[in-house]
Amino acid sequence: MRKKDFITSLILIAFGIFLILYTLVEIPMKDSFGGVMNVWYVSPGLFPICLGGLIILMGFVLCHRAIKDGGAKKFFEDLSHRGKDSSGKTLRFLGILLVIVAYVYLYIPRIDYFLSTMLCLMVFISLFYLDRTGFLKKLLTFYFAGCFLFLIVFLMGIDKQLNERFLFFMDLLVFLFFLAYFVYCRVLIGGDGVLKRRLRMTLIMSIIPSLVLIPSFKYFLLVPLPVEGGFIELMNIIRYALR
Amino acid sequence: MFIFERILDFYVTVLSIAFNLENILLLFGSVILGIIFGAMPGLTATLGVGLLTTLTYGISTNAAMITLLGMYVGAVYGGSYGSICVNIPGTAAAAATAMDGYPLACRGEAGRALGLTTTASFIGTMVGMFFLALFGPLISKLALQFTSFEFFLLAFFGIMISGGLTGQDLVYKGWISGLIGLFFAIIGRDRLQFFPRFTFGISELDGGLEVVPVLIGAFGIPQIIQVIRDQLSVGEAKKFQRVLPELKIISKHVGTIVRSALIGVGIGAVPGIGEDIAAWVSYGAAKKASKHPENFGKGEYAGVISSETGNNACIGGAIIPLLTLGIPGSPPAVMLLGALMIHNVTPGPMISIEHPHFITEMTAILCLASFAMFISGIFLSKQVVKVLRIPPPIFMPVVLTLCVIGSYALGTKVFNLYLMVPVGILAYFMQSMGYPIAPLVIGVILGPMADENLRRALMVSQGSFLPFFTRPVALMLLFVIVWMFVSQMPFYKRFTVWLKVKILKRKITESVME
Repeated sequence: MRKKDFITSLILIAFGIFLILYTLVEIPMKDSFGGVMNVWYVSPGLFPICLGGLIILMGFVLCHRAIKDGGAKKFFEDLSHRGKDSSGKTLRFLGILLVIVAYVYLYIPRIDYFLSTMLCLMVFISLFYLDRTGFLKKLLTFYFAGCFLFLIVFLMGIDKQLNERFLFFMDLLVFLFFLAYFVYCRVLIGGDGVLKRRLRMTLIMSIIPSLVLIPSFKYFLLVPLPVEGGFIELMNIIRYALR
Repeated sequence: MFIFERILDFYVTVLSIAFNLENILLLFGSVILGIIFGAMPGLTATLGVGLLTTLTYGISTNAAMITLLGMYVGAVYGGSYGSICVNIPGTAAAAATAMDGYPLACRGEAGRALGLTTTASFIGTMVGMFFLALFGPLISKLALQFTSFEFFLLAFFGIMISGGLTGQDLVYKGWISGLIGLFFAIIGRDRLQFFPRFTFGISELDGGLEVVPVLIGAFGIPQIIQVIRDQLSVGEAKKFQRVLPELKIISKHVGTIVRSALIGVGIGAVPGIGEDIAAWVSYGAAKKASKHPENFGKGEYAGVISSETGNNACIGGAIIPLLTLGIPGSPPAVMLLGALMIHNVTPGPMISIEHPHFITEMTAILCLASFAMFISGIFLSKQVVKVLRIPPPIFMPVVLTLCVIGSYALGTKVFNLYLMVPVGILAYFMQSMGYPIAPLVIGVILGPMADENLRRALMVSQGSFLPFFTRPVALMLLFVIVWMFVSQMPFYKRFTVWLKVKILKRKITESVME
């Protein structure tokens, strides 16, 4: 812990210095801004400077403690020998990170919200609920490859061209990816009865929360969703047909 | 005579509301919705009241207030469900409850913990209501004595106390966390001169970081990562016999309940300080007063009772400055203020002239809401504990989707999600290094208050720091803050040891001489 404290204290000191320098360079302390003449005690830079000072102070306090408890020594000793994580925790961490990052930064801003949520739930649950050796790595690789392809499509602007030519085309592609992922899971499972049941539960749990959550927010709380694509359009049709 | 008339008026109002089926349905519906909102990580009381406000345009002011206060009371109480069942506080106000609620759940006492929080929340709300009805004007007068000097110090005091209480490894790690929260709070255009600070040319940052995504990211994401990464079980769902807490436990903690309720009301009455601070201060006071402070954080009943009584008592307290001064006492009260304005009720000193029965109506609604919360809580808690039986790989992804939609819903901005993820990852790393997360969120909430009031105070004093020492409340707060800081420094610890040794030596010498 103290080794980490030593590193953190250095980061804190550097951050505090950055805070003060940035404020001094970018924020006027005494000059005129927007026609108002500033004095130091009303300057928008006053609080950041105080904050920077406090962060540096706390950084030094932490550094002092870390050095006293041998954290600095441990840090320099460990610089040459780095251990490898064999518990699989790093892989699990990377898996969670990939799911969250892909959901928030890749799918939500571009793909139908219902579909994005369903895909996220499907992948997230299956990655950790179908716990058999080797599954996580295989499923993660499959999902990563799919996300990578979509990233290229989005970065090159192909999605906009496709959506202009065919309505909700990207939604359809993501839905196909969802199906492909499900089929891949099924192939990996083979004849394992327990995992078959778990995969069925995964599918149910990827659909039901999306079906409850999204209409509740859209129709009950009147929250406009980030992207209302093919699936939400279908929900609208059903809702207005029922009314 | 005046008090008698007010009491009579209060009972008549309570009965007139209670004997209307529509009102009762609205009350129970909104309280249950509030409990669900509060219990779900990411959906806060502020968000609940805000979202429900949009649905009250078309109904009468009275019905709207029933709905919104029901939601407010339910959500503040419901936050404890997440804290106890999965160690993710549904709201910041329930973060203190997690300290002892979750260890109790792990011990298989989730039912008892929920029963205790239900009763404590009920008592807290009732005490808050009592103060709103009888001592509102007096507390408002006291709160009026606070100026920018006190508000600035109060913001720092809030961060120091929450950091001090949550820092498990080193106390100053909690303070560092709070300072990082304060940094998040200064991002965006400052509210006095609208100068962009730390926006790096990103226009979405001009409005500053919204509290809800930071709150959800900081509490939700680390919990999701930790549970899945370390393959943790969120708690064993053992069967429990009773949801109603034993009278023995309640009677044993009467002192804690009274103290926490008074703290909650007092803190609620101070504008800008919300349920979260009330819960932490109540928790801290209970820990200090306890004969076994070492048991706190390991599943102590007094911990759960104090924080829940404190945060619910704060509701009544927060409504006092809202109604009498037009200054909301807490973030959900800000939403309530907006709702009141939508319904052509302008809170402030004129309210008793323009709407003579309004304060009594609000008090009566608060009273009924606390009863509705108690009844719903006792019946719902047994169902909520079933959440523990869901395997974490299924439950946590659902929590993630709730966190995402909760972050997005208040401002309907995708940018909020872009913020939530890095804040969550940062919080995860901080947590793994022993930094508590609650002070970070409190820093974000209290940052604007600290920044604005420091500059306002110096503006008033023309740059002089002297009023910090000449104003009694400010001096007291300053003294407490400095003492809290100094008491954790190595030189102070060395000094106290040296002093103790010296006193001991003198005593020994004196006894030898004798």
